[in-house]
Amino acid sequence: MIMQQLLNGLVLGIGYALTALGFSMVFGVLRVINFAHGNVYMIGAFAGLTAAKYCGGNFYISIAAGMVSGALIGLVLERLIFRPVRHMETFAGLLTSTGALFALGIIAMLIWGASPVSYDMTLPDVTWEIGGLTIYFMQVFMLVVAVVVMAALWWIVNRTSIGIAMRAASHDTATSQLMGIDVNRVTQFTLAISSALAALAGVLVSAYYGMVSVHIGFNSGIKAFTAAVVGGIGSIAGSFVGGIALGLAEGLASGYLSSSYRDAIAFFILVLVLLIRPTGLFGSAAKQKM
Amino acid sequence: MAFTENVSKLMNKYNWGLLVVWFIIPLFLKNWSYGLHILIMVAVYVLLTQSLNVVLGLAGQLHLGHAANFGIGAYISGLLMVDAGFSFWATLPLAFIGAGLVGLVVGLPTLRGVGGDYLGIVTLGFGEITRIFLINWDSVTRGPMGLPGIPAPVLFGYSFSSKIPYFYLITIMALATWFLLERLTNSKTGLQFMAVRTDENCAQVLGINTGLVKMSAFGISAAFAGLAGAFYASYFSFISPDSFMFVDSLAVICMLIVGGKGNMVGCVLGALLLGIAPELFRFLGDYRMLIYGVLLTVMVIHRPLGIWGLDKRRLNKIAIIR
Repeated sequence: MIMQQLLNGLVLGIGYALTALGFSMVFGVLRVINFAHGNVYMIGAFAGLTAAKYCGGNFYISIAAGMVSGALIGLVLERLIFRPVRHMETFAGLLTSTGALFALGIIAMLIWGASPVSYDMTLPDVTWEIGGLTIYFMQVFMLVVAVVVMAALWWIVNRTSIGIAMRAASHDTATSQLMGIDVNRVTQFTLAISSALAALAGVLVSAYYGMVSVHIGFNSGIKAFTAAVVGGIGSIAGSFVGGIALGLAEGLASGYLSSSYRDAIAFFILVLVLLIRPTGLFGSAAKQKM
Repeated sequence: MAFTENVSKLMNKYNWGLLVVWFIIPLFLKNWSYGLHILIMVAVYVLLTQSLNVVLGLAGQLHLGHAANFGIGAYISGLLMVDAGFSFWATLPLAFIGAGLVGLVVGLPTLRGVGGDYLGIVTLGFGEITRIFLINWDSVTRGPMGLPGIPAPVLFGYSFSSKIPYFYLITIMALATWFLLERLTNSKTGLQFMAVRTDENCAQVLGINTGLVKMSAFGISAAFAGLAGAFYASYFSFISPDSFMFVDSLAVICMLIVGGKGNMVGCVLGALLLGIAPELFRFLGDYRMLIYGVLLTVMVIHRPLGIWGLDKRRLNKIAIIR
C-alpha cells in the first residue's frame, strides 16, 4: 500500500518536476514568474492529442507535436508579454503573464471545448511485477524522460555557449549586453525551451491519466511553481528534487489524509518554505541590490 | 496628459453633481432591476478596488488573493446571521475586524522579506487555501453547496426587500470607505505606505518599520474587503465558495490596473468600466475573461499607471536609464 502510494507520488512528482524546470529557467533568466506556464502545459497536451488523432494515436509523434507547439507559444509569449516589461517594476511580468494565462485558457476553450476529453493514445502495454507492485510502461518512460531532460538541460546550461549566455544574462543583464550577448535571443531560447518542457510534461501526464481538460492549466502551474520554490527557484536540480518531493507529499497525503485536501497541501508547503527558508532547498541566498 | 487634467478639472467642478446623479439614478431604474443590480455590483467593486488599492497601489505589494478577504467577510457575516441570529448591522464590524485580522496574518510573510512575485504567489496560495477550506470545512461553512438563506438587513423595523435600499446602503458604504481611505492616503501612514512602495531600503533607512507598515496595509485592505463581503452576503442572501475564486481577485486587480493604481478616482473609474463592460458583453459568456486577460496585459505594458494615472512616462524613462 505505502509503496503504491509512493510510486503514484513519484510519477505525480515527475510531472511537477518537468513543469517546474521550465518555470525555474524563466525565473532564473528573466526574474519573472511565468504564470502562463500552466496553460502552455495544457495547450501542449491538447496539441499532442490533436496530432495523435491525425497519426493514428502515435505517442511519440504527439510528444514531438506538443513540444513544438509549446516552443512556438513560448516564442510568442516572449515577444508579446515578456520583452515589453523587462524594464518595468518587479511584478509587471507576473501581471502580463496572468493576462496571458487567461487569454490562452479561453483560446484553448474555443478550440477544444470546455469539457474534459479522454486522451486516446496507443501506449505500449507492458507491465512489470516487482514485489507485488505493478509498474506500468508509462511510469518507467516518464522517469527515463525526466532524467534525460534534466541531464540535457544541465549540459545546455553549463557546457554550451547559449547556456553561458543564459547564465550571464541572469547574473547581470546590462553588463552581458555590453559583452555582446543578444539578450533578446537568450530570452527567446529560454522561453522556447521552458515552454517545450511544459508541453512535454502536459503530454506525458495527460497520457498517463488518460484524460485532459482545459482547466488543468492553472493548478499545474501553481504546483510547478511550488515545486520550483521548494527546490530553490533558478536551480535545475532543485526544481527536480522539489517536484519529486511535492509529488511524494501529495501521494502520501491523498493516501492517508482526505484527498480533498490534496490541492491545499501544495500551498501549505509553499507558504511554509517561503516563511522558513525562502531560498528553497538548493537555492543560494539572493543578494539584495541596493 | 492634458485630457486627464481637463477631465480632472471638470470632475472637481462637478463632482457633487455626479454624486447627485448617482443618487437619483434608482428613480429612473425602478422598472429595470437588472440595471440597478449592475450599479450595485459596480459599487461593490468600487469598495473592493479601493481596498485593494491600499496594498497594491499605495504600499506596492502584489496581492492575488483579494477575493478571499471578500469571501471571509461574507462568510463571517453570513454565518453569524444564519447560525447565531446576529443582525446585519452587528456583523458589519465583526466582518471588518475578522477579515482584517486574517489580512494581518496574510501580511506576515512580508516580515520575512517575502516580496514582489513571491508575495503574489503567497497571496494567491492564501486565496486558494481559503477556498479549499470553505469547501471542505462543511460542518461550519456548509461546503460546496454554499450558505443559503442569509437574512436581509433590517433598519428601524424596515426590512430591505427591494434593490433600492441596497443601492443606497452600498453607496454609503463605498463613499465612507472612499473618504476614510482618502484620509489614510494623506495621513502619515499613507505616506509611509508610499515610501515603502517607492524605495523600501530608503524607507527603512528613514526609520520606517517597513515590515509593520506592509502588514498593516494588508490588514486595512482586508478589513474593507470584508465589509464589502458582509454586504454581498446579505444582498445575495446566498454565498458559496465559487463566488470567491482567483478569477474574482483578478477582476479586481484588472479594475485597479485599468483605472490607475494609487489614486482613488482611478479605482472608481476602473470599477465602473469593468463592472459595466462585461454586462454589455454578456452574450460572450465565459469568453468575457478574454477581455480581462488582454486588457490587463495591454494596460500593464502600454499604460502601467492606468487610464487615470498621471503621465509619468518621463520619470519611467529616467528610471530605465539609471
